Amino acid sequence: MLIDEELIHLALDKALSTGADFAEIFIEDKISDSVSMVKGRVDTVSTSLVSGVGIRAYSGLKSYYATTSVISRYAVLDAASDVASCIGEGRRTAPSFVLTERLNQNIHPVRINPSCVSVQDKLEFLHSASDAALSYSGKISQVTARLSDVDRRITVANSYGLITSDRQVRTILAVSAVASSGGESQKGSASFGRSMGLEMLTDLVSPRDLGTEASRQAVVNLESDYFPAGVYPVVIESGFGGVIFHEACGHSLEATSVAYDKSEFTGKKGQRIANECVTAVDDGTIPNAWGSMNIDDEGTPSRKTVLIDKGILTSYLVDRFNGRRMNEESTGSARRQSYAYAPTSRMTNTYIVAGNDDDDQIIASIDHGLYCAKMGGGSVNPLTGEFNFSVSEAYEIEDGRIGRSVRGASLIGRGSQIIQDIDMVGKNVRRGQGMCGSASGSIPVDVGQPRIRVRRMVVGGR
Amino acid sequence: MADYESIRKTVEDCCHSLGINDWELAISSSRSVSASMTGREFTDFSSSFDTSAVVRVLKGKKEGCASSDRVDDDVIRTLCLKALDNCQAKEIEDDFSPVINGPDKSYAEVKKPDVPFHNTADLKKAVLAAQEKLLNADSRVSCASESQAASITETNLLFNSRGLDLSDSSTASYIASEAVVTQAGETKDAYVIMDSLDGDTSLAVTKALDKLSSTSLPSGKYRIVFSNECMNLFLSAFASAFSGKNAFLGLSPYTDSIGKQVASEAVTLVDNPLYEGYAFQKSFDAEGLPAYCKNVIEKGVLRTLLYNGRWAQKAGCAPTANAVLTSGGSEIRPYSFYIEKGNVSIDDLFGKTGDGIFVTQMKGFHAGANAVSGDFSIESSGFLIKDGKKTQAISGFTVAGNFFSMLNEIMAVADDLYFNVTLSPYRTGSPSVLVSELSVAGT
Repeated sequence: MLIDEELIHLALDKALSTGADFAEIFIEDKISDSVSMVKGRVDTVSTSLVSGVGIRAYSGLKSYYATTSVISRYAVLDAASDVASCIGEGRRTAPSFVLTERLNQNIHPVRINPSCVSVQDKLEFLHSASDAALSYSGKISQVTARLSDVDRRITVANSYGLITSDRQVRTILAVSAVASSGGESQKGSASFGRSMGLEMLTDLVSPRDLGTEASRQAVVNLESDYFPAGVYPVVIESGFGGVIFHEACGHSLEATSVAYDKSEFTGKKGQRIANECVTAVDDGTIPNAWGSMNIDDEGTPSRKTVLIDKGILTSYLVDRFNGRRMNEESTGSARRQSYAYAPTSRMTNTYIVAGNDDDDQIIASIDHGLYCAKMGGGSVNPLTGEFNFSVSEAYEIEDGRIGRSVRGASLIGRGSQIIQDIDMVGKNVRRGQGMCGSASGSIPVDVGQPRIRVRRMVVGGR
Repeated sequence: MADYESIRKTVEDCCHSLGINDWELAISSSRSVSASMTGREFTDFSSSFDTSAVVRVLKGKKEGCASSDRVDDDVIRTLCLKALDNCQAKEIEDDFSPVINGPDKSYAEVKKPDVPFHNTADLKKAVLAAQEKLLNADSRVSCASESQAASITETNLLFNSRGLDLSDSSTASYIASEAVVTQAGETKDAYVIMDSLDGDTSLAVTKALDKLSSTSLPSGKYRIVFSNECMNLFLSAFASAFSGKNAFLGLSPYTDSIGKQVASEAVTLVDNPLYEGYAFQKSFDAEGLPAYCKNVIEKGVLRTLLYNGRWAQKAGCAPTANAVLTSGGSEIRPYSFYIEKGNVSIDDLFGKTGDGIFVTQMKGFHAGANAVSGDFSIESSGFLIKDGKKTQAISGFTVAGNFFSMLNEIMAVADDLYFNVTLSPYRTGSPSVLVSELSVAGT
C-alpha cells in the first residue's frame, strides 16, 4: 500500500472535520505496459505508472473530491484539507470509527502476470498476429497490432470503518488491418481482452486468429458497396453487437443520469419498458471477464444485477453517492478510470440473456433488411435516449437470406423505442470487449447478446 | 509545487549510473479546481494537484520512453530503468536515428493573456450566476439543467542531456452549461462552453428551445451547411490524416499529395501553436524544436503534413515541431488546427444554400467516422433551410459521405470561426461551411 493505515485514518478525520457526514479515500497504484507493431516491426514500447490518492466527502447530497499524485503525508493531508474547507467551517458531526479490513475472494485468478514477462516474449504474440494478418491477402497494405496489459492495485477506506483492497490485472490484444485497392482503403479490426494474464493468449484465443479476422473484415469492406439509407428491419449479431443495449439502454439505467431526472427511464422501475423477449443483466462477477472486478471503486463487492426481466425494468445501476439521492443501495457499480476521477455508476459486463429463437429463423424472417455482423462503437444521450452506432461489417438480407456485403452503415434511434422493437432473441450469447467513456473516464466493459432482430431502425448510408 | 531541479538531477544521475548519455525529461505540473450545480443545488466540487514526468533515453541508435504521474526519487529510478528496457526491446530502424536536440534554437516570444487562477469561491459565484440565468431564462427550463466551472494552471518543463532547459506556464478557466427544456412531454438539451468565467452560457437555453417540436425528413441527397461546431468535430475526427506518420504508413490518402489540390479553393487549413490571445500557446514542441505557424492546406492545395523528428526523418523532410511526448515515445499532434474563416456571414451561407439543411449537432464521430477511408455516417440534428432561410427544427437523421471528398465540395466558408474549448494547446477550430451535396437518412 502506498500510504499507511494511520495516514489513511488521519486523512479521513481531516475530511470529516468541518461537518461532512461521510468520507472515503481511494489509493491507486497501477502499471500499464503496451507494445505495438506496425507491419511486422516494433513501433512503440511503453510503460506508464499511475499512482495517486483521491479523497471524497459527502455533506448530504453534495460531494467534494480532491486528488493528488504526490504521495507524501503533507500532500495527502493537504488534499483532505481541501475537501474539508470546501464543505465549510462547521464542526465534526460524523462519529469516530475504527478501520477494519475486509478481505475479498479473488474470482479472477491470474497465472502469468504480464508485468513479469519480458517485452521480447510479448513480441512473439504480436509477430504471430501480425504475420497472420499480413499473409491473409495481397490486398492487405497495413497491419498494426498492440498488446496492452494493466496491473492495478487499489485500496478503499471510508468513515464507515471499511478498508479493503483489490488487485486487477487485465490483458488485451488488438489487431487492425487496412486493405487497399485502386486508391481506396478500408479497415478491419479484431480484439480480445480478459481480466487475466498472458495465459489468455495460449488458453483462450490464438493471436493468429485475431490477425486473420482483422484482415478478413478489411477485405470484405473493401469489396463492399454502400448501403442505401432508409428504414429497415435489422439483425444484429451476437458478441460486440451487445453495444446496442449498452448504449441505447444501459447508460440510461445508470444512477448518474437517473438520480438527476436526466434519463428517459427515471421513475419507471417496475414498468414494462422493453419487449417481453428482452431480459438484460449487468454482471461484474463473471470470472476473468474484461469488465469484471472483485470490488467496485467504492469498495462494494461487485455483483450480478438483473436490469430488465422479461421487459420489466427491475433495477438501476447505483453507486453510493447517487444512491443517496435515489434512496437506493449501491449495486457495486461505482467505477472510475483512475484516482483522478470521482467514481460514479457504470456498467461492468452487460448483456441481453439468451432467448428462444433460432439464429437461422431470425434471418429467414426478413424479406429486405440489414444484417450487422460486426458493430463498431456508439453513443447515447441518456436524457432523450437518442443513440447512434456504426456498423463495421454488414450484409444485405434479401428474401430471408444473407446477401452482398455492404459498408458505411450506421444505426440511429431512441433507446426506449429500440428495446420495444427487439422482437426476436437468439439462443447463443457471446460477449465482446470495449472501453466505455463517461463522466468518470474510460473503463473496460464487456457487452454481449445473442443474435437479435429489431423490427425497424433508421439506417444511415449512402 | 515540485522541485523540478531536483527531479532533473535525479534523472541525470540515474541515467549516468545506467550508462545512458542521451536523455530527455518532460515534466508537467498542474493544479485545477471545479464546481458544479444541478438545478438549484451545488452537487460536486473537486480539486487536484498533479505532477507527471516522461523520460526518453537513447542508446545504440534506439530510443525508449516511460511515464509516471507520480514523481519522486523511487519512481524516477524505475522510470529510467523502464525507459532503458523499452529502448533495448526495440529494433534499430535503417531510416531513423534518434536525436536529442541542443539548446541552440531561437523561440518565438509568446504573449499569453493575463488571467488569474480562480479559487473555489470564484467558481461557486460564477456557477451560481450561470445557473440562475439558465433557470430564469424560460419557464420550460428544467431543474435537470446544470452548469460547471473549472480553472487550471499548469507548468511544462523540458530538460535534456545537451543542456536544454525550456519551460512555459498557462492558466485558463471555463464555464459550461447544459440546458434541459421540456414541453408537452418532449425533452431536449443543449450545451454551451465558454473559455472564461464571465462567459454567458444562457445561449444553451435558446439552443435547446430551438430543438423542440422537431420533425424528421425524408431520406435523400441534400445541400448542407455544417455549423462551425459540427465542422470542428469533423476536423477533430480526421486530423490524423494530416499526420506525416499516418501518411508514411498508408493510413491517410495524402501520402503523395504535397502540392496537389485536395480541397476546394475556399479551404485554407492552418496549424498555429502561437494563435494570438490563446492561453495555451506553445513556443516549443516536446523535442525542443521551435514551434511555428504553417498552412497545411492553402486555398485547397496541400502544402505540408505534420511531423515530429522520427517521421520527418523517415519521410526525408524537416520536422514541423509537432511532437508530443507520451509514455510510448514521441507522437504527432496539431496545435490550434483550424480552417481559416471566410468573408460571408452565416445568413449569406443560408442564402447561397437555397433549399437544404443546417446541421447544428452531430454525435458519434468516435465510431461513425473512419479516419483511414474518410467515410462517415453520423447522427445529426439541425434545421431545414428553405428559400435561403433557416426554418423548421429537424432531428433523427444521419448524414453520410466521405470527408476527403467533402473537402473538395465545400462551396463557401463563413466568417464565424469557432474553437472548441479544451484547456490544452491542442484544439480544432472552424467556421460554418456549405457543402454541395451529401446523403441523408431520415424516416
